Amino acid sequence: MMARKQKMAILALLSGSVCLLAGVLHTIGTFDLVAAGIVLIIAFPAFVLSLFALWMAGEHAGDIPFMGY
Amino acid sequence: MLAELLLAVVYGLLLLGIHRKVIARIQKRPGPPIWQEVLHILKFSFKTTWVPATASGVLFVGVVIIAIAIWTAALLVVIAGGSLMILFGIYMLHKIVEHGFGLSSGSPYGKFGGVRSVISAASEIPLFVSVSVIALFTGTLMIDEIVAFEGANGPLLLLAPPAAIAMYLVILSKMPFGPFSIVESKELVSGYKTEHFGIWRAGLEVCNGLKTFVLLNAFVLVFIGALPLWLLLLLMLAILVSLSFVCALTPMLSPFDSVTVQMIITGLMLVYAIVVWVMI
Repeated sequence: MMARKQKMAILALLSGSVCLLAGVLHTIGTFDLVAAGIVLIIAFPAFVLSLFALWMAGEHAGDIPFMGY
Repeated sequence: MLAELLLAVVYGLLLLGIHRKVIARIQKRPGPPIWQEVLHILKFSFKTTWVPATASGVLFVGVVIIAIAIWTAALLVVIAGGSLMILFGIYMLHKIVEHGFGLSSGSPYGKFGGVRSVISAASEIPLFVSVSVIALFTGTLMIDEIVAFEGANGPLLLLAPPAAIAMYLVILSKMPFGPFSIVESKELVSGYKTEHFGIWRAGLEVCNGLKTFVLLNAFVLVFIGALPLWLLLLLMLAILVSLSFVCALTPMLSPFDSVTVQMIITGLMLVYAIVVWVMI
């Protein structure tokens, strides 16, 4: 449990930092819009999901799935 | 750019909350608070999350990432004044994502939702014609050049109102609780997103906020022109409220009727495009 939380914390921190860095570098003119955009397109979804995964509730193996008719 | 992205997510979610509120008030219900969609994200992100045993794991998770990524890309295209064709391509990709959501889950409700998303691709055909009319008038498909054209010649809303109506209907087909919302109608529980719960649903809600913002922003830019931020946000709100009125007063169509109505609109738009082509 802790290990998974730590992994997600690292991923959230990394992807969040990359998003922030891309934004800052674009603002100061080091990164053009296309380069910063590509970084954001990759890093932003990773940040969103890892952030949510970081604070999600407990873990279980899975439910009894509906197997279809 | 990061600020715009965060603004788009939050404002898009608020717009969806206002959409629900307006529909509820028209139907004489109190409705949820306007920040309900933001609360939804928080609620889903705190729920226990796993991938169902019947699901295709990679696709089940991958579509959520792709959904957020493509609408992030769409927002950047709008900010950069890029091509309408890229926006159009992203809109088409969203259909594939909806299909992926439904089929990856292993649930019959999700699968039906996915199949209906393919049927509802008919809603993209008016977009084809709308884009072609814009190209005929302005001679370009780049958003920044279209905005420059409007600066010199006036808003396209006045020059080509049928194209604006077609685009309006395209946005209407993407609004929840609307006449064309057949992909998530209640007989399919939640349609293509039935089995996506927990952080997957929260991610999908982020995508929905972005999508709503991008579509309304693109409509204002393409048919009205460049505006100060406060006026842009206000106009987006006004368009959304008008969409909410349509959604509140129109029952959801059956899949067959939904496609038929959209094909009739496409036919009318095609006649208009031919007239414009001949006259220009």
